[in-house]
Amino acid sequence: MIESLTGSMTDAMTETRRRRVLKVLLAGLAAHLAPARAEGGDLEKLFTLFAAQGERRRAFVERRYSVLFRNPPESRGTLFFRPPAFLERTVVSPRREIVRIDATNVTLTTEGDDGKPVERKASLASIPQLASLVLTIRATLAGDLATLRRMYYIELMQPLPHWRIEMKPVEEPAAGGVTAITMAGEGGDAQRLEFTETTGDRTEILLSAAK
Amino acid sequence: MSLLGRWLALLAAIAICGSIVVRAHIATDIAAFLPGPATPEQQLLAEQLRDGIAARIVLIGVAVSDESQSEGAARVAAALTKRLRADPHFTFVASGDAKDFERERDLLFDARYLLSPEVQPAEFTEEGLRAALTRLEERLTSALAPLVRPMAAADPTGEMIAIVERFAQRPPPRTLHGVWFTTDGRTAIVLAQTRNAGFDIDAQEESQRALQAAFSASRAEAANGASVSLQLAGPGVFAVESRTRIERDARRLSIFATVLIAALLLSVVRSLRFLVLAAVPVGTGALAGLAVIAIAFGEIHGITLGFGLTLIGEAVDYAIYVHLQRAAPGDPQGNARLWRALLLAVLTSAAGFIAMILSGFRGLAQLGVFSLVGIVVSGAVARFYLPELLPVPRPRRAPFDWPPARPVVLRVVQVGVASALLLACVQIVVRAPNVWTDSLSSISPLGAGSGDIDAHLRGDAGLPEVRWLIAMKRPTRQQALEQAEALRATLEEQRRAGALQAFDSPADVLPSDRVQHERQAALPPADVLQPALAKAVAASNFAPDAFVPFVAAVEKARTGPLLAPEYYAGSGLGQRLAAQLVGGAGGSTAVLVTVYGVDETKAGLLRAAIASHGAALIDLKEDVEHLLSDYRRTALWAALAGGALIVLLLALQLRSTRIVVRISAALAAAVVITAGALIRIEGSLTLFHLVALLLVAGVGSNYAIFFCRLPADSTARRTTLGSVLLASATTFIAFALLSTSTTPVLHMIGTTVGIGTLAGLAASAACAAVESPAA
Repeated sequence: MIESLTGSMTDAMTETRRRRVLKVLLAGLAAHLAPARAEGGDLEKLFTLFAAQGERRRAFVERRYSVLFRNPPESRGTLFFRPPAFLERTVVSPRREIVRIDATNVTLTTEGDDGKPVERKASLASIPQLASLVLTIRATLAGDLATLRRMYYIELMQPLPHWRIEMKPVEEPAAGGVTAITMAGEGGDAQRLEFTETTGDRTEILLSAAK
Repeated sequence: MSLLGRWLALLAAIAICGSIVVRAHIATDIAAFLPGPATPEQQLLAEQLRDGIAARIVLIGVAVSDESQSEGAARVAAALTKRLRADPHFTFVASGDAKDFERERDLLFDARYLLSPEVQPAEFTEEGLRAALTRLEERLTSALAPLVRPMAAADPTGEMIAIVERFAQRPPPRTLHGVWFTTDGRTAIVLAQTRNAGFDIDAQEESQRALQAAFSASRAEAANGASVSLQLAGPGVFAVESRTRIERDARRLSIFATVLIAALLLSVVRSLRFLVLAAVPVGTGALAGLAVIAIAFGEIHGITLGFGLTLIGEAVDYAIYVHLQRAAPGDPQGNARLWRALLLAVLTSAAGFIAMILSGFRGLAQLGVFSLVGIVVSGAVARFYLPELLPVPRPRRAPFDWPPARPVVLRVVQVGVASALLLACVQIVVRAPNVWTDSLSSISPLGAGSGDIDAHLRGDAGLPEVRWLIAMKRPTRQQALEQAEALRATLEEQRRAGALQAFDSPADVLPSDRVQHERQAALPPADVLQPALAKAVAASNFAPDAFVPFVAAVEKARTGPLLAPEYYAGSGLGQRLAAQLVGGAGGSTAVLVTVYGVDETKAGLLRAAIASHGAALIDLKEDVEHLLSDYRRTALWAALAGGALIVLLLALQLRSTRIVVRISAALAAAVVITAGALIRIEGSLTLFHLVALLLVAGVGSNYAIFFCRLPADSTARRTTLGSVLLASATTFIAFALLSTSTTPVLHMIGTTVGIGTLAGLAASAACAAVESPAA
């Protein structure tokens, strides 16, 4: 799994380089084509597609690749988003867990030892590691490119319809923070997200239509 | 003694008093005009509020008019925070940026094995570690993973989470754009702590000037068009504000009173020489009063200086009486009569201050002693120094006679006074159950508005309310911490029962040595932990070498030193600890547990529950109100005693039951009318009004003595009348000016005596009686 992922990343890299060379050539031949703007235009088109999706629910499979684990643990559930800010992550396996995030607060509902749900609430701002992640996901789902650009250098590595983007944080991330994000999908649908953390851990999230 | 000798003696006395006063410390500490502590816990609290860390907190609000401008407020607040951090006036500044708390988090994390309530021997066995690893994997795959992951290798058993959860009992303040905000989103909150003590008002003022400059600079730099304003609250801020106000009042009112009274005297008496001489008894009296309180109280309060102006109004009366009522030269009989009247006036006025002196309020007692000494000295100087020097008085008779030539006029005045008396009685009876107010805010020298800003910012910043506190005292710090640990379970129970929302115990940050030793003993040595961990890891999904830092950290905690308060030096936690763990004489330590969101209806249960731990729940509001009503009861008795003393003095001097009854009736009527009018105007009466009502009787007695024994001769009568009217006018001017003061104690006394002067004059006029020539 890891190897196949790395493989596809290398492919993508070479392809971008090829595209760039081509673009420089094209620019030299016909300056009015303005290739940089054309790429930016693609990114904007993609984010317009994200925004057009509005409220949505997706099934997810999440795997964490970490030096701590022998095998990457996997969890499954659904993700729900209602613009502009409401996010809900419901995990059904291996344990039930619901996280609801509104504009300012996080509510975590887990199963207590006695089987009854235990609810914990915190201000999003009090957990900065989570807050930046939430802000990123939220802005992406809402198609808010302007907010994302304040936080990340964004590059469209592969154009629509089978797109892929890479994001690198503008500021040095805090301990446990994210050093890179890759997203890939088709049309307005994100299908694969990958977060790389300062610890070297990677979290991969595969999204599909909710049943 | 020769005239020269007497004046030399006076000048010497003035010089001595002057040197005492010049060297006296002028206090502006508002505590003198707040009730003193009644219980040891209140004593503790009062000290803490005055000297403690809490007194150094400045609550800063950066306000905008609309939530849409909140980003501007946040930018200015962040810029201000940065500036204040670089400013040596402040030792600690926070505005809600999560990065600010990294140092605190690191301190807690490094001490996790001594702090966590979950450190127990069973946790570090193979079985315990297995359970911990299962829990860790769950956490690492949950939404909390970004939080847990960086600590996972060093803290697989999750001690840090257990520690943090104890702190997370209460909802955090609202955060917008990375800065704390009030719930309405219109005010960004910055918390600063001054380097200097809260009671050092000069230093506080300097810090606040620095703060204001930093705010102006931050606004210029970061407001970006948003119109932001600065709000300040906190004990130091209030202290500076009230001092400024007291000083301004004292200066302004004294100048006004001097100018107005001088103008009045000059226009009526038309003698500059009299005016200059009249200042002698007034000035000597004031100086003597100040010298006596400087010796008796160790300091002179700024409010007393402000109150001094009333002495101008009262003491000048004696000069007026001496000047205008002196008998023609060669009529010693006539002057003897004046001296008797003057002595009586001085004594009854002085008796009017008894309620203040005996009220138990340090500040009021100071005002009372000052006035009593001032009046007696002024009267004496007027009697023994003025007569030889005063110019021959030009007759200044009242433009009318009293009792009036037409009896119907007297009748009208009598009916008027009787109706006012009736209305006042009705007013008092109607409001009977709620005539008195004992709330602190009604008498606190702080402006009413400052308290609102404080409550607003404090509540939203999640700072402890000033109203509730749990306190206990033990002979040693260790015993105090152990007691706090024992109290924790009870408080947790009470929290679940809804009696309070949250509490902060210092023992959570600094456990007792006993508990720390217990936790150290629960940690296994590395050669025991390592194999147990290896087995637990082998049974889990974790990699074999995942937890190397954990084993090292446990070994370090197991053999390392115990935590002491110094561990937290210079951090926010250190500040909190210093405020909550107060060292006293001989190593005794008081623990203050701050509580949040106390349910008033369940406070009784909470009080009972913690009492078994020897802890007391302090309810500042209710305790203060109890205290104030106690003071008020004392003052009421003192006022009644003062009233009785005035009557007794009258009886001894006048030796006529008929006249004494008459005068007493006039004084009682004046007091009741004043009380009724005050209830009508001010809504209810406080302790300060009460002590001033006795003053009304004291001042009024001067008029009643003259009115109830008017000379039979019409010319002499009009002369007397003229001097009484002039004297009452000066007194009225002084107290009416005092009533414009923004300091509650001065305002209340001024209003009461101002109204009382008029009521006393009217009631005395209604009781007017002409002395039979034989008497």
